[in-house]
Amino acid sequence: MTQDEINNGNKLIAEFMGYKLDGNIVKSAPLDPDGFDSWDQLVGYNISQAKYDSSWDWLMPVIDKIEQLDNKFYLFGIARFGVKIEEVWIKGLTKGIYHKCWEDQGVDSKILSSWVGVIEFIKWYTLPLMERPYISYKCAGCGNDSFEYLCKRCEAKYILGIK
Amino acid sequence: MGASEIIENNKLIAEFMGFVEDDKIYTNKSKSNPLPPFWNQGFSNKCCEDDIRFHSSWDWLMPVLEKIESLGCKTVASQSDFNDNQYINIMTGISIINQDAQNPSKFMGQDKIKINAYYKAIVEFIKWINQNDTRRDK
Repeated sequence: MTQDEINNGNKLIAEFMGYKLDGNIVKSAPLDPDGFDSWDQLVGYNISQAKYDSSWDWLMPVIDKIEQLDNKFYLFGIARFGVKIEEVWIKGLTKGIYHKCWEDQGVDSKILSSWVGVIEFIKWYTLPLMERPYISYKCAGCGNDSFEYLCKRCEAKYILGIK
Repeated sequence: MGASEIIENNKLIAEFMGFVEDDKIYTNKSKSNPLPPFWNQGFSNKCCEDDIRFHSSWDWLMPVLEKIESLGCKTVASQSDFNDNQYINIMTGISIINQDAQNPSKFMGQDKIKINAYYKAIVEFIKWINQNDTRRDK
């Protein structure tokens, strides 16, 4: 991954977190949960100083924010080198947004795989509501394509596969 | 969790990560597990007991999880969509049918606060692996 790609990704995340940028320079910080302008660690700096791609102390609050969006509507699952992001329909029923395991693709950085998942979610979330794509799953039993994990056509067998 | 319990648990994790304690000063003696650069910021490869932040910093805690994963354990972390709890499962590699009280198939940490859930599961796992498994020596 090039430095430009990392900077562009970190810029996207910073804006998602509420920072205002002018080009690559961070101009203002978001208000913290108590209403104070205290998240000023980036203000005045170039976005290249952001550490969302390399520090868990930076990245985890972003994942926390994703999970708190829309009245706790999204689940962000982290495995060893993989990420699964789901939208909760109702309690116990979810739709897949992003699901990728990097282990088979030569990526062995847990933080980088989580960082990519965050960026993919932000890109998805900023699309108009009706244009947001969901992962299609294929039923292991009957081959039926579905956005849900449970196949309604063959007695609720689990659906396997990604996309 | 009280302050003394946090100190004891942090000591446990530090030793698991290859730190050796001498009069409340911890030195990184690990050779097989090089630590990420942020571990060494400000205190070289030494730190005192009060500066250990496994309980409060993701930059301290996540490398511990990565070491656990490097020992062959699988981990899955997310948020429960039933009760809003944060949780993490550390799968030991022992199958459900072979597990018993001394050798569980997994350790589960749950808490409303995500880092607390990770911390609980990691501490329980290290207590177990110190007593029951030779993988810690890798």
